[in-house]
Amino acid sequence: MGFPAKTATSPGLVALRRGLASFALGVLAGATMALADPLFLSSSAALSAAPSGQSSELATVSVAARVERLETTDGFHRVALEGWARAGASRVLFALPGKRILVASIAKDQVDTLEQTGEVVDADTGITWNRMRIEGWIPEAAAEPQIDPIWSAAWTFFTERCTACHQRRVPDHYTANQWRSLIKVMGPRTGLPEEEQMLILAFLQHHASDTIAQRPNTRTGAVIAPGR
Amino acid sequence: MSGHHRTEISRRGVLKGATALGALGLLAPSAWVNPARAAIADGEVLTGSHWGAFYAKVEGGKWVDVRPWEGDPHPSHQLPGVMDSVMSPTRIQYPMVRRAFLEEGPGAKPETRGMNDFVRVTWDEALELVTGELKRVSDTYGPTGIFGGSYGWKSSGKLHNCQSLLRRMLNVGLNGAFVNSSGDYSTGASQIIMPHVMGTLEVYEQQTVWPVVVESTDLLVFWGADPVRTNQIGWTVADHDGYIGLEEFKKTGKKVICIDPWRSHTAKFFDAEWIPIRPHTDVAMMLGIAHTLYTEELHDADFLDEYTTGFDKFLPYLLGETDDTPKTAEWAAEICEVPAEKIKELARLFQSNRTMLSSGWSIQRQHHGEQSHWMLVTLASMLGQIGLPGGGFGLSYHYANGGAPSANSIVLPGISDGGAAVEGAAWLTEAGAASIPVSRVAEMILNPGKEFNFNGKTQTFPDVKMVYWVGGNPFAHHPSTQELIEGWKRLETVVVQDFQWTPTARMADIVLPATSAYERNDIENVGDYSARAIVAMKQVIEPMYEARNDFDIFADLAEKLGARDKFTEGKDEMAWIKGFYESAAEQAPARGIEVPGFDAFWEVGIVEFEIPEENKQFVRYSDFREDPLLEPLGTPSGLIEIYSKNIEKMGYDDCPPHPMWLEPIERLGNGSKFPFHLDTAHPNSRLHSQLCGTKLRDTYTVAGREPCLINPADAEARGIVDGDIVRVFNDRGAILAGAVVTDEIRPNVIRVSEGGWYSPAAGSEAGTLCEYGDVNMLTVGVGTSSLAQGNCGHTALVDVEKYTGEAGDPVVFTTPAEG
Repeated sequence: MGFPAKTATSPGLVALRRGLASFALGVLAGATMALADPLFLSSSAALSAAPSGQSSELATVSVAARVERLETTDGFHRVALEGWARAGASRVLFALPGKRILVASIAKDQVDTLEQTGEVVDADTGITWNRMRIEGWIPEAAAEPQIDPIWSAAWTFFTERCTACHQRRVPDHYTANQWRSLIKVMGPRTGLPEEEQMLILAFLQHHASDTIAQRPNTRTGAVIAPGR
Repeated sequence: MSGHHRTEISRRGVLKGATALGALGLLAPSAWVNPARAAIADGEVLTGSHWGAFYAKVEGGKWVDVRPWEGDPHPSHQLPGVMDSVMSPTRIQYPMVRRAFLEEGPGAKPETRGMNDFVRVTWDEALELVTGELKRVSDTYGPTGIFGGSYGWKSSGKLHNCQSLLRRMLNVGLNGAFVNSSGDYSTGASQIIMPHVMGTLEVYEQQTVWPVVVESTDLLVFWGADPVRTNQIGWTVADHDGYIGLEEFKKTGKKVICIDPWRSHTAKFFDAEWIPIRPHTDVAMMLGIAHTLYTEELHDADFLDEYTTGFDKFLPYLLGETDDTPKTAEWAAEICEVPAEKIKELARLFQSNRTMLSSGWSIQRQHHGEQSHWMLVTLASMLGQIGLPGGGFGLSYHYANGGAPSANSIVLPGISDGGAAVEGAAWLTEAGAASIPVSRVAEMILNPGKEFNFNGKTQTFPDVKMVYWVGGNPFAHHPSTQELIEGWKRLETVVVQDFQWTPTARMADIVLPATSAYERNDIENVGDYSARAIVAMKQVIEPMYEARNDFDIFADLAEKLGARDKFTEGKDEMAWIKGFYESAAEQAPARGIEVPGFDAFWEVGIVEFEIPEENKQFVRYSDFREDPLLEPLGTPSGLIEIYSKNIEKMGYDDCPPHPMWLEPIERLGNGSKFPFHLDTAHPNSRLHSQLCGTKLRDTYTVAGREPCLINPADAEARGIVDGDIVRVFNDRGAILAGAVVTDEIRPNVIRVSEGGWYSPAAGSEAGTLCEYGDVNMLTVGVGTSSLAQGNCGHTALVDVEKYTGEAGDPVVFTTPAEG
């Protein structure tokens, strides 16, 4: 009995992975995912098959997630949504490969609706991440053209609720994945409803040590400085 | 000091006048100032504290007795000290200013700090002086001239949280122009390394609950943990429910092992097997156990494969392939002084039983302390019981009654630091300059502009000229008191707001007397983990002397800075408390519970919550174990990281990418000139340094000093007998202590608890003898490593001798001459 030795990775494969990783970084910087008309979710919302509250639900889109507006009609936006899913776990889409910033949870029976638009192997973990795309309708009221007001609301919750027991933490002292685990524990201690906890989490994850430079959720690339 | 003399002159003029008024007797005696003191009705008042909820008995406006709340299963013996703290001779009575500061301006004669030479001033004068300094320092030195990262155990209560209130005042009044701190002194190393390894803090998180441990754990190991002693206190109001678990486990008669340099309270409580490890060598011992597990093929390869990453990179180190040093039990035994056969026996015992490895924080409050819990997790991973009922590891059974099942309760918010009002979040864009790892405070003051590493980033120490400390006592809790004394000399202004004449208050320029938690109204949760009640912390007595509430002091300062309304939001004490309760009450319907309205709650004084059956079955990491893909950890791999790529990328020599035995700056058995390790664990009859100024001291001091536990063989060799005054010293400093000769501590280790008040024989002269027994005169000031920059309060080698010189009474327990 012993620990099975891992097969040595060939240099070629390592180089390929590196190439894919830098391709991914290019994507993050907005080089290839230049959304013409981005919207940001001001609250979590159902992604529906049709512009109606009654139509079948494709996914739940997370607060602060970025989507691309394709058209607007009858109080609904038709949007395209992209996110990264771990190979073998396609139902959960994240904003960046390997960074578990929740973008959407796909309904169980809708996984087939997803279209794969990219793939990257994370060089550090060897995990394959697939970029997935889905289209559907969200209520007009659930999205905003700017992220700033959403971050501003998050900032207020964070400073109001996350300084009652300890000093205010610095968002970029932790990674996006660490924040997810930290809020799992600390979130309930705020006494806030889950939606607000998720808003704080999204804010922290987008300003984490391993995401702040990539600014995944800003259109302009300007430094995110939440105002009042 | 040049550049601001002009404003100083005028202020000094005002204050001279004030001092003259004081001399004429216009500063009245306290009884006269507070004619309303007897306004509180006679009887018992229920309130709460870090030591638990209790009834305070009031007669004629005076607090005369204390009785534990009947809902407390294991009241702390420290409650009489809590009562005494309110009226002890160490109570701060009036606003005071250091004489040289008052007469000659900021920064004048810093060497007279700590000389207890204060002048009484009025509140108006004191607040004018503080406001002037906040403005002057901020104007002169910019946004990082003031340190507001004040740290310590403040009093319980959601409103009168003096540290949040300080930062609130600085945020609304100075637009956030201050340096904050991050982390703490308790878990500095672990709370940074664990997120890389387990994806989360661990240290402040719910444990596999006690009912599960009682039912399923076969072998309970306390590795440098002493919950019987340390669970007396809680950050909110202690529930003491952890003691129920300890009692129940004891009844089962199952095996308990304590790995500790002394036979702890917990070891005695369980009559546990005591393994008297050599301090500071825990990682070596764990490696020896790990090596045995691997070579005897007792490790869980399936668990390592499915739930961890990087064991393959750690294994060559364990086997000695990378450094020609196999980490065998024999290798470990040389370092940790636990026989190799015992190490091997433990490996087999751990593996063949459902074993819970419960660790305290002492083993990470050491040089290279990051490695201790990383290696503990690695060992637990090799045992493969993480996520199983009663197995795995736990880093919070000893703290705030971790493992006590959680109630289905509502949660109180609390006063915020007011940061939402800060324009453009200046601190965020200057992140790094605006927040330091808290234990680096002395290094920061002494080295402005110096670059330092912290968790993958290079930051620069700001140039701090003013410190405002509330609710804490760095001259007790900061390792290497000398560095702090030296640092203090670089400061122009030190403000301390407290209710006790702590050593830190004595090192201040301006001292503001705050009310104790029992002279104001507040509200708090009961049970950090159980959250099984909310208690009305009702005012017991009127404010003593000229003490004022933290909220009111900071509201006045905010007003002088033009921001009173932003600070108070138009609410007074009871409006805030009611608001917190009503915000919590809004959560009740979603939780399917009913709670009384605020008035009914306040009348009764407490509301309790049920503990659901489901919460009595909580098993930490059972979800991860069930589905690591859908419930990944917060690490890059989603798995337990025995090897961390993120840490590898940081490239730190003092924190390599997998757990390793790294020689600390000093330890026993490594050729040091000093023959004793100084064990500085938490005291049994204080909360760190809190209550040191009370009559509770009479129950434990020896010859008027902090006790020093010493083994009979060591004592005999040095001609020390029980009750002797001893001098404990090294190259960093010297303290007096009182000898307790006992075989409950292993040879070559002496134990003096942290938190003894620094009582210098000669003011603030560095290197002067501390006549009471502040261990931090002797500990090292370096950070744990480039990764966490935590403190090393458990790293200290010393010598000890019978003291034959003249031993003065510790001055720190007396009231300053004019105070």
